[in-house]
Amino acid sequence: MPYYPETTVILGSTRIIREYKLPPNAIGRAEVSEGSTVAPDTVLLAGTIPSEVIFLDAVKLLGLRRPEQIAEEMLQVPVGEVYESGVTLLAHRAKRVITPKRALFAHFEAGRVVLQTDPQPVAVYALMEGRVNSASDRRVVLETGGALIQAAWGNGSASYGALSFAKDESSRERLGLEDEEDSGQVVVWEESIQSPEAFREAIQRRWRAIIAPSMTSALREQALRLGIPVILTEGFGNLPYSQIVYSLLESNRGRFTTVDAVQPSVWRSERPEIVIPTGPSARLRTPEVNLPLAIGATVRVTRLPHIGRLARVINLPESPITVENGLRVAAAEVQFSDNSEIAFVPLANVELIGRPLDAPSRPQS
Amino acid sequence: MTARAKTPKAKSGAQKTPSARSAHKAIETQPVKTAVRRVVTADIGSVHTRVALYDLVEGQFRLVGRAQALTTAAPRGYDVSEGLRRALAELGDLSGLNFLSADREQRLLMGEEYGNTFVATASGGKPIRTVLVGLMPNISLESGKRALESTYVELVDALDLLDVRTPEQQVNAILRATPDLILIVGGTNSGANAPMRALIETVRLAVQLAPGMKPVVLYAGNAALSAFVREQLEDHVLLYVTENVRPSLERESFDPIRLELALLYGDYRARTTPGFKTVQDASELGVLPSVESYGNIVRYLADASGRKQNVLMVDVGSSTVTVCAMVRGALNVTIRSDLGLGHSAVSGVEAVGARNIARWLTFEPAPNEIMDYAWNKTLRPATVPEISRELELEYALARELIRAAMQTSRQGWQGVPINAPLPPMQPIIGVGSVLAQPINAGIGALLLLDALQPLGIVDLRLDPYGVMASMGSLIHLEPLMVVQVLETGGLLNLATAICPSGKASGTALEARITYADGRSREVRMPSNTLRVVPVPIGQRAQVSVKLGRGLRLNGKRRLTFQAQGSAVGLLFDTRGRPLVLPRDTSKRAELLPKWYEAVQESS
Repeated sequence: MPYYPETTVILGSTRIIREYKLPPNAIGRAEVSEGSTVAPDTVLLAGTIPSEVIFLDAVKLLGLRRPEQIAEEMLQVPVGEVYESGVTLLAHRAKRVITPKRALFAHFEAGRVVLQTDPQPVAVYALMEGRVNSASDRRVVLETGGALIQAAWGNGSASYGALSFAKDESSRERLGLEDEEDSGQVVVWEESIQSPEAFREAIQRRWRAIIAPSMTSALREQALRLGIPVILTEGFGNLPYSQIVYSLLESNRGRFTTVDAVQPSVWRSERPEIVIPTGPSARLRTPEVNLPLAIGATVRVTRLPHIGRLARVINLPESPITVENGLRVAAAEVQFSDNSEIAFVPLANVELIGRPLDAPSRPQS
Repeated sequence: MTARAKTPKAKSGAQKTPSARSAHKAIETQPVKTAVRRVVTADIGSVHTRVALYDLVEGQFRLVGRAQALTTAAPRGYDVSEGLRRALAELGDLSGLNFLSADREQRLLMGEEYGNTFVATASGGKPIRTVLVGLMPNISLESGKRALESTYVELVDALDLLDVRTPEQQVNAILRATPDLILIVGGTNSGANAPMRALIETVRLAVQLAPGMKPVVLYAGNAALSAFVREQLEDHVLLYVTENVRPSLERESFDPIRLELALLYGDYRARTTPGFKTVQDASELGVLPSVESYGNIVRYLADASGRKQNVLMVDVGSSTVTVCAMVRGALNVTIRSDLGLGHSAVSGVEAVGARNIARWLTFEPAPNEIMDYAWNKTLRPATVPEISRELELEYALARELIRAAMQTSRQGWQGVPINAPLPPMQPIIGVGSVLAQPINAGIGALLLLDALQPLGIVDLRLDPYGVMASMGSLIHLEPLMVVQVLETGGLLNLATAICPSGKASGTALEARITYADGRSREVRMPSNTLRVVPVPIGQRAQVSVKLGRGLRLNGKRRLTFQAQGSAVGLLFDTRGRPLVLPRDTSKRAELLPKWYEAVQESS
């Protein structure tokens, strides 16, 4: 029976369609229209996120006795709008109900004014060049083309810049370029992050993002506080880059790169991604993500001892295979691309990388 | 296994009038008269979607086929029905039946018109973020919490009469909690209204102000306030009103609210998980939470002996660990959504502590190795350990997750002190891949023994085919079928564990095992050891045990009992309770492999 592994897209050139949404608690709208072309700094969606609710007792503040005494003409402004501090919401003779701080006048009932204070502006940026496929109140779909690397973990930030390598950045220091206010660089850290040194360097050199293969989980909290995106292509621990990922990064050195270091949630479909966009192109295809494993397919291994290695499936045995630790599991026989070694790998530990030609379409029954 | 102790009391017990158990036997041997001829079940977990086919074989229902595929919920795919289709396609290949239309659409061919009954359960998915609102913390709120134990929820806040927060702060708390469900309980049916009205108004204001998707509200409080609740909330949220969970101070009524919560779970998943609605529509009963089914089966097994015995089930999943225990006639259900071997591995390690996991390892883990491992499991929950070091970590984590879930569960066991040894359980059932698909059946038994540390003679069973979830959902629809499937090998007999209490020096245990064909063998064991004696499935053996000074089995030093055959056989455990693990890694490196080896050996 066909086995459908997971797919982590790692492609040098593909069609990329991405959905952008306002945060679920924001009130706002799309700022672009369908068909328009956008730049990385284009605001696609904008709005506000209301925060704390406060109640104002209008009956008391207006010097009245009962809520029913509040007449409609006492209302000075419409409900549902954001007002600056000191704006009169209700007035009765010399008495007033005023906004104590900038707030959304959310509700008024039974003599009680309900404000949602400190509405925080929120803007969703395109982060890359592209074309707007569709736009509605809370959602914009953008299309572009380019290289796409789906990663394992991100710290929740997003940014863009020129792709460079940490080792090159060291030589840049010697050239005296380190004083620039903004390096404009998305930097590839060549090794696993095992100490805060990478973060210190990022701050010192004003990098816009760090790409690393892996990181000790002990630094996770620090990475979350860093303020620039940190994206891990392989996972946690001391794991090197997959050859395919490193090669792809290296071959795009110096190019405009977007890092969307989404914090992966087990319950959401968004994944952290590195995009090196080249703009929309009709000749590019969307990667297929729901393909069965087939002989000839290129896979990446996701667990030790072969984690990160690329291989080609050469056999799919019908019967379970006993692996090193004694577990009997459904497995694929694969040949690794780096040294032609042949091994059995549990099906659960391989993933496709999104090459449309690697596997046939869904078999028709 | 039937205990046959040489005491007058036990003998009189053996001669009792036809019990519920013999009634069940009668059902088993009678050909089934039912409209249902073929049943297809599906259980959608966080990682795997398992399907099973039950059919009539010579007049009796049997499990005739099963298959599984990866669950295709986020982040893997976007439509959970895709994973179901893949599993059904495999089941179709195995059984020669068609469960999917041949066209590109691959519709589910389920229901009477296709000659089958389809029922689905689910345990995967994001737990329902729930705010509980009630009057008194130790009365209605307690009842509400117990009701919530029947489904997959994450309790994010609770409001009650003694809450010191102002209404303003309570509204803010609800908004910050962004709940998917607000459960309102509280007030007996003849109780005071005013405090409940205030709480309901607070809820109304919060849901009015909540941006985006509004929570669902379930009201199971004072029946006299139902109309007020409707008036306040109906325009703002999807509102369900059911019977009061605490109609009087003395009485709790769980069935209506649990049914409503089960339906709500299906609806919630249908709203939040693409493809779920397709499964829900095809299923005879919608999609029920697996835990509801577990409860039904545990209750059935407890009653099946006619003796109201204690039954324990533990399910170690990717995103939750569930304990279902029938103790002294009361069903206790505990779902720990923060514990799991995949999706919840990180929160699981945080909850149990890396140090506790390390005490089951034969090596000193590198700094952060356990947490790194957990993070990678959370990121890729479907993967399996391939090297021995990682398998050891997985087994160690499983033991501690079960232990942690048991500690929570035992807080609700009435009349059983939390720190007392595990009371007699018959049987103990293990569910979950780590238990059901270890490198050897003996390892599954060892993990259960290590984590639960039972005493006495206990049957260990496994549910490798997802029978608990599927049969539990059918128990009201097709009870005869459930009885037959359970009593004809639906659950795998894993082992009969013989676990004396106490400590002994010298020889701890001597046993004579006499098989049905007259062959016999003898066992002599020191303390702190494990030993397996095979009794193949389908066979029986008489076991006579004599214990060393200081040891007891069911309170006795000598005992004879009949044992059923099982995958492992008889598993003698003289390690004593509680288990003592050496702090010194080198000593553990000597001891633990002996345990692993012992349970995999057939002497």
